[in-house]
Amino acid sequence: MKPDAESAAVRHQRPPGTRPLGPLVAALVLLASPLTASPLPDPDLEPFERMGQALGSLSYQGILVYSHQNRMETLRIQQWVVDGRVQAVLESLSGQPRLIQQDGPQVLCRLSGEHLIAVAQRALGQRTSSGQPLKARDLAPHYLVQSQGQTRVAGRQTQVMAITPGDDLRYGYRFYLDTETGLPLKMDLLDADTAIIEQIMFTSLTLEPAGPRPGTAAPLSSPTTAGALSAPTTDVPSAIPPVAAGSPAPGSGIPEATSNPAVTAWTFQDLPPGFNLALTERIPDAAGNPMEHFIISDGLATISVYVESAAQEGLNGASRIGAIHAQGGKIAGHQVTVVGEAPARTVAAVLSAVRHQPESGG
Amino acid sequence: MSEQQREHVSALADGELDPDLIGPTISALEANADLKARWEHYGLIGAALRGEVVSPEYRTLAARVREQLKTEPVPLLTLPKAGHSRHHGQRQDTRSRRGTYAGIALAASAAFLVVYALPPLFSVRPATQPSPILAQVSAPGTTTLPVSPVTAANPGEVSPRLVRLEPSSVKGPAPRWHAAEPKLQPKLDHLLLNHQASSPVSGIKGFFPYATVVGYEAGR
Repeated sequence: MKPDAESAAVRHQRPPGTRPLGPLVAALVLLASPLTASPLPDPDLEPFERMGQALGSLSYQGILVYSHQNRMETLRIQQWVVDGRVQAVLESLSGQPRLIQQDGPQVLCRLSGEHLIAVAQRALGQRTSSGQPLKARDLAPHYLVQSQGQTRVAGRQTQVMAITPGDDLRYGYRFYLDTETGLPLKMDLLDADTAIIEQIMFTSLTLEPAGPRPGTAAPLSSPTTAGALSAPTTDVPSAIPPVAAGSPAPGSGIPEATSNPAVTAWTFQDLPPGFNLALTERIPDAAGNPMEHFIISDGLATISVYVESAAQEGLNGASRIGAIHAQGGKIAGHQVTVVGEAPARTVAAVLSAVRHQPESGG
Repeated sequence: MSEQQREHVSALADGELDPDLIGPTISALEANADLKARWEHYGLIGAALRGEVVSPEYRTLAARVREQLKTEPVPLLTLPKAGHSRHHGQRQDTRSRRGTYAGIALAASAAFLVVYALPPLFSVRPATQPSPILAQVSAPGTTTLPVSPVTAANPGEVSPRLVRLEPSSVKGPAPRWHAAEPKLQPKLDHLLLNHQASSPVSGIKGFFPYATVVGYEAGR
């Protein structure tokens, strides 16, 4: 007799009036489990604020599917938050091994072969360029925010929140927010007609207890490797070198940014509607040469403008990777490259808005 | 087979067909042998460019499944209960038979979808073990399409052996950035990563923005 048939037979033999013990046992097991899960974000927060808080405070791991241009890639994400410090690893499980890891302010990325990219995480966490948490009303008038009901993703109930762009100069988003935790379990990137351009979705999610990853005192700051942090099945060809916690390691290539330099010779005229200069900083490029970096934002979409010496090789024309577009060219003897998650015409318009005013500085 | 139908099949093969047209196009594919042949042709070209291994046997799988379903014994008819009128029994019999035919049609459609429609949506990695070679495609631009095994004109002559299509990407994966100069790729990656690390709203989306950086792989 097959096990299934056997258990079915047992079920049939249960005396009438008695109840199966399975649910009771499961409930007891749950009650006996230590309540060590990360504290959940305040349910009274606005959905996006709660989402941001969840992403910055919860420890979890899961499998993501990234869909673009009818292609599908599988990724594994692991995140631990220890004393407010985010330690995360995102790695591809299909195709060429690619991996990115974050330890607090440090981001290391290996995309192909031995090429390693190191940058400093300088974002303001769950906050916008104005320093305030993102709220739906702040996105008007260029976006329409709507609740679109509830659905299930990865076996969990989610609230669907859509951010629809008001024109074709920016992308929209549809977030499927876990009703229990606030985590986004799925994200659709939308064009102005709300057609899906890209999708990222959890196919499985495990919430982890608060505190350090079991068996690992300091997952990323200790002399460990990405391969060691990941499951043994991961095919990571070589380790990402250890990086000291706190500040960028000497020689690591992680840029030390100087925010809002007082003097710059660059301004922007006739930016696309809704976009404004949000951040100015001076950073070294991958080779250590000085580079000016400007962030243009409409409150949600962000576009970076990099200005460096014309001696540097750079993009001349347009390029893209998925929904991220780039455009570059020479302006006033400098190489200017614009990169952002925005439609090609918006990125091109930002490049066209770059002006050099030598009397202002630089 | 109209030009529009051909265009729809081509768009379906490229994954660019309007979702509203997918159903009608698949129905048309089922009903029209020429369209089906064209679909296979596109599929083979795609497979050749992706360097996949293609088994010509798969071409006839849908037909074989359909035939098998036709010859299967169908013990699904329910006998009329005692006391029911003969007329009622006949009606039930007709209904059951209709349901059986519908089931056969659905199963055949599902088989068709599995064989013809789904593979292009889930690209297959090249096989690591070489198979007997019937046809080789060296690289885009110098492509010589398979000669005998998989043309619509001779479906009965399909060889059971695998067709080994040499990967077109033997030089490595295509550049991640669609730039004229591949050597700019690391630089653009660096600028993008720096952008996402410093973008004020990146934090709102957590690690999600990095999924594009890590997940994106061109040329597969």
